[in-house]
Amino acid sequence: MESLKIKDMAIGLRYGRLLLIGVAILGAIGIIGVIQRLGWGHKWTNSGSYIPWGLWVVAYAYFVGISSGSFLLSSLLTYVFRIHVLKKIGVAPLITAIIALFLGLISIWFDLGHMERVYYVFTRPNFNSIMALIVWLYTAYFIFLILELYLALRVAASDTPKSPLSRLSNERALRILGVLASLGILLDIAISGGVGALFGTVSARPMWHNPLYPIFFILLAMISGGGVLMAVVAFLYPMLEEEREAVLKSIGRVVAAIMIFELLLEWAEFSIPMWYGVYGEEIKNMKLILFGPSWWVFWIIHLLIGFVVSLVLIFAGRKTWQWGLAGLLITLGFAASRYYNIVIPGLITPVLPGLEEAFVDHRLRHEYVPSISEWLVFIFLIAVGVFLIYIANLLLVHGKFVQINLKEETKQ
Amino acid sequence: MGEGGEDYKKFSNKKRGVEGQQIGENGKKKKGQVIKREVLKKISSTVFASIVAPAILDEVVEASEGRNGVSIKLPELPPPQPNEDVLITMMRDLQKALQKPMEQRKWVMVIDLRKCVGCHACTISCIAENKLPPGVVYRPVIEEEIGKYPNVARRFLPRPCLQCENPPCVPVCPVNATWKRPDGIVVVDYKACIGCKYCISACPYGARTSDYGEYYSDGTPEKVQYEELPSYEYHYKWKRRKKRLLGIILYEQSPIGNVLKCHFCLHRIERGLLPQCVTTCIGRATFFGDANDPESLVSKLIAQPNVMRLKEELGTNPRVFYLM
Ligand code: SF4
Ligand code: SF4
Repeated sequence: MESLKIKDMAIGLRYGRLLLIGVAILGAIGIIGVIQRLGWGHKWTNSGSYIPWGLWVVAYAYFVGISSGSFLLSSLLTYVFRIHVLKKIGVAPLITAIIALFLGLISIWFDLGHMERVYYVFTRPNFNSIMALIVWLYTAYFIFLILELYLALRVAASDTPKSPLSRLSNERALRILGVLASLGILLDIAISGGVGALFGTVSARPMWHNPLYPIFFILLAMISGGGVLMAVVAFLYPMLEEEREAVLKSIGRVVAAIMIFELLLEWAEFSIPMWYGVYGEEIKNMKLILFGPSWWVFWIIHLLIGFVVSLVLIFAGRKTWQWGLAGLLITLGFAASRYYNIVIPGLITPVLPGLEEAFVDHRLRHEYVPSISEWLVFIFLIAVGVFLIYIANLLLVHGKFVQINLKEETKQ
Repeated sequence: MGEGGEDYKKFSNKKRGVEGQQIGENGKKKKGQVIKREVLKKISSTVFASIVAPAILDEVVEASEGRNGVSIKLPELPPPQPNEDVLITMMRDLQKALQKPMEQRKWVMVIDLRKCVGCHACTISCIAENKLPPGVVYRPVIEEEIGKYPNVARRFLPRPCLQCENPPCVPVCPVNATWKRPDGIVVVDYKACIGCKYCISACPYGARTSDYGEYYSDGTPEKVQYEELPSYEYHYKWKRRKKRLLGIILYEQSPIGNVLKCHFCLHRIERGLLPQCVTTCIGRATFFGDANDPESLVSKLIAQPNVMRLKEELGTNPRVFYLM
């Protein structure tokens, strides 16, 4: 603790109690949804057989995107593009990736009809199914992340006298970490692209059946993960103030660039089939996104708040909290709304017109708005995520593990 | 969970993909054998009489399936007559097909849209046969209105599972819980399905629905006994129950939580009975049989030029044909 000056504590750590209270309130509200799911099955969900996937599948794609994206972005920037300042965020992407992966898997687990059979994916897998493939990849990725975190902490331990972890020489560690990082980049691409393929390979849904989907999802992963990283660095990660600014500036610019590129692809995705508007089932889905009852998800949340406002904050921002806020708007605004607008509208137009009227039931409808219970679970997962990230960062500072990145100041 | 006999074991056998092979009693693979009628015995069966529409069928014939010593009963049919009810003709076709090994049968359904009157009897009889809970439907009848009042015409399109030759719902399943049998029927193993609903997303015809564990009598003071009756899909006695403790669900028994779909009444056709929707179609608009038998009624029907299949462009190659 001697090496740490209070100004280098992130705002979130300085006002930790406030943050914890907020998280506790969200968690307490959200847990109602979790209890409802565990105790009463799918009784309070609004999905049905014609729109089989709802908010929890959106949440799954979103969290897994954050997981793979945060690590992919930071590895690419650090090791491939050699932006050295990013080394300063040390284990932040790793922590984010592990926690987000955990949340993603919980949300898809909640969506299953038979939660107790989830292990069948390991005992009787069909590797032809993208779903089985990516579950296996998640497992590999999870093991990889834990290994990488362990090694990174051991490297950091060499600077921390009281660390319980045995030290690892910098040279050897960096070699191992370098090799692992390249493996990680491949895994990240496979996982985030894989979620895109999960939707993209479904020929029954014309809007999803788009060869660019894996690319969208890789970009989206980096955007959502980058946004979370910005928020974590701005609000939670213990580091020197000047470095914090430098890191935020560089991640912010890169994420902004990826967002612009993603938007360009979105333009192509929408304008090509819609231009003459003559043929293509997907036109219906796209019209729903742009002008349907939930038009504001695209125009207000995705474009205005997620894109325009966060871009202004990134380029005109002067304070760390402004970049942090931009990160939050990017991940919760730009990215989350895009995931939502992929999963739900992709399912919303009937595969055969008239199906809904042919047999009437509340589970056989082509309308979907997430139920309160579904939202509560989502809120709970967010609360758990923020809490875990907070605790992890607190451990880095107060725990005996490491006093990461503050060593320069000690030396000075 | 429920009970199942030898036939269910055969159904859920892991070697199911192996064409025409069955696991014999000694555990070794045997070539599928032809069903032989060994004993013809008259049994008056009120059960069959109530299920099978034509009263004439209240006589059943017991046949033995030489293979595993499992005996099945096939209804006895009257000798062929000109102008007989197509149901009898189709049952004869069906019994003929059952003489062959499974992989040599090719079950198809033909629906004559000109004859369908939109009565929804098939939808309802299917629900009764398979004890389908709320939100699960195997064969809705889509109604289409063409033109503007007063010049209006209506068209009805019953939509069972089309048992696609190239089913997009099968390869997506992460746990191999759904597959296409050699005779062409796409089945779901309720004991293996984890309920991920990926196959629902992948079916271009909306033919798969999920059991959300609801009852028609939910929210009413009385639980209707009918809803507790077991279903016999895939030759298994499925008891749809929830195990609760203080109102909290501990475990939901399959098929709750599973994805369900039309299976051409597999449990009936392998007993020599037509699918329930065919039997109950008041317009005689639905036909069923073996397309590998050139003499069968369905073979003749699908050879006509006015045949249409849904979404041909997807390459799913459905085994349900519509006559226009
Ligand atoms: S109609 Fe749907 S459920 Fe039936 S086989 Fe084809 S894709 Fe599968
Ligand atoms: S819902 Fe069941 S049958 Fe369908 S893909 Fe998932 S596990 Fe397979």
